[in-house]
Amino acid sequence: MTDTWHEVIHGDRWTSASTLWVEDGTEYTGAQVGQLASTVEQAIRAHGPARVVSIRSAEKLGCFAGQLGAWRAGCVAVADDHTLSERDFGRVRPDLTIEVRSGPSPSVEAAVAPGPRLPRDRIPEEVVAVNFTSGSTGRRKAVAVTRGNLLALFGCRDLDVLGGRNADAAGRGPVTAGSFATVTYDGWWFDTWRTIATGGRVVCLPHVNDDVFAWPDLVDTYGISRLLLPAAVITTVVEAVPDCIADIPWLFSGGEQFRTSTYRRARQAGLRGRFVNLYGPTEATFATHHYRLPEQFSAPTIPIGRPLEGCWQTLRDPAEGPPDARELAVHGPFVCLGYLEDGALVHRFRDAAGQASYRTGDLVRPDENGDLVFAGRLDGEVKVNGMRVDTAALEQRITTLPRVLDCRVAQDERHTVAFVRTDPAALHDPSARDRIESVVQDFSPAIGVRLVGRYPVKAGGKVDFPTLMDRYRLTEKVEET
Amino acid sequence: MTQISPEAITECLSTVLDREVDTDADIFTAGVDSLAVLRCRALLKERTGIKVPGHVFFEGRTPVRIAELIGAEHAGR
Repeated sequence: MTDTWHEVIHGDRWTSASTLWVEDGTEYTGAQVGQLASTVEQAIRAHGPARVVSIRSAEKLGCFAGQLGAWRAGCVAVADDHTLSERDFGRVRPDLTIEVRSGPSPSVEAAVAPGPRLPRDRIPEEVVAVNFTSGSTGRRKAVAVTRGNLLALFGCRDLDVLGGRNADAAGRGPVTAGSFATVTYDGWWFDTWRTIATGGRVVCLPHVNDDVFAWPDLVDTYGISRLLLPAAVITTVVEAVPDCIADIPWLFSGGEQFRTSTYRRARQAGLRGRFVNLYGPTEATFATHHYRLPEQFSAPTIPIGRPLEGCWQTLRDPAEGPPDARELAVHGPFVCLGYLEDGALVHRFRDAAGQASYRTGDLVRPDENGDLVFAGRLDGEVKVNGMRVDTAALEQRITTLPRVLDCRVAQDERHTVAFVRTDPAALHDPSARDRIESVVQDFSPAIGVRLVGRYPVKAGGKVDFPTLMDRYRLTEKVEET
Repeated sequence: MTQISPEAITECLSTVLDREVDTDADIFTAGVDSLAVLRCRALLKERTGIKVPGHVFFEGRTPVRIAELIGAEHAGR
């Protein structure tokens, strides 16, 4: 164990009387969090040497303090807010489940997994956590996150922002970060760890659907200086309730493409904060690339930018895909160890020389400044009537048209449809529709076009494609009859 | 006790959707999505000062029922 890791899990902050965590209207001192972690550590040790522990809690703090306790006990801590499935557990095979309740009367209960324990060395010693991919590019996978990954994340200066309420003023005191991350299926959870490990504190924000109106008070009370939000959530909030994020100096976007139209709208709504676009696969802990948006930004697509400090990239010519796009591979200490399957490490992310490396399957193009621009998935080309169509290129081309805010292409077994979000007046404007249709036809005459005022969004903030396609099929039927 | 009438809700929805909505119509089959719900909640807050949580819309589904749930939430406080 390194000294730095030892400091993270045993440092003074866990006995401090300062507020470290705020959730559901309750403030917790460092000492309270440390005490809860100690209780978890004791509960784990009471059941003999365990390698993998599932930490289950409905509260974020329960998962956080539980992870700390599990790390002190030398375990892989798999955080679970009651959303992991049996299949997910099958991939990591926990020896023990620890149920944690934080809040006014905290409690810790342990349940031992039935059957004989797997050997301790089934997972390399440096692995401390697991992150699950969302499964959007196929089967869901369990990614092994190491101490080295987390320490590299904690030490990455490119992610530093100054404390306080002014993005430009010299830092005063530690950073208070708002937390919107979910405990599972979300590499951004490790950002809560980064905040604490770098001396800051975390304020958990209620979900947009629950109580987004509470955000401004929390921002004001605790002086939140940065917040990471999925791109689709930023879009929603900027469109409906921009005041709720108006006083946050630093907003980080990620998870999906951050759209120029959203940025423009944010500025029109009077948001003065700085925006940073983050990019990175789940297999690289948190993010590998970043792009800080300048005040004046007019390009059609917001770049994913350059590698974060400590990361580096290689661009390779893909066998398939559009001619000028390159496949992005990422390297360095953020790249995780590999995939876990049936409780053991089954695949390592490394290149031919044995260095940590992950081929993202994402296509990129460098812009004139050398910043990378996302250009679709290597496997993202769809076949329409037997013809390959580069959907990312189509979406980007449509988005450059006047009065178009966004474009998403979706496909089911029968239809391929470009859902084009426009300003309200363009919805009923034949000339706008003609312009869009003629561009889509250039790509393929078999692609349908629907102009929409907005996209339906799933609870997590991503565009709800099944609902879009359902609506398309409904209206198709009406038009056919 | 704070109350919001079904009509106040339909007025906000109509503003957001740019068309009429019946007080006993299922708003989600009428084309309301989560962004429209958020906009409607923002309008209700602006007009009445009441911060209505989103789950009330998703559980209530019709303006009449949503109004009942808002009444129940506030009565319980």
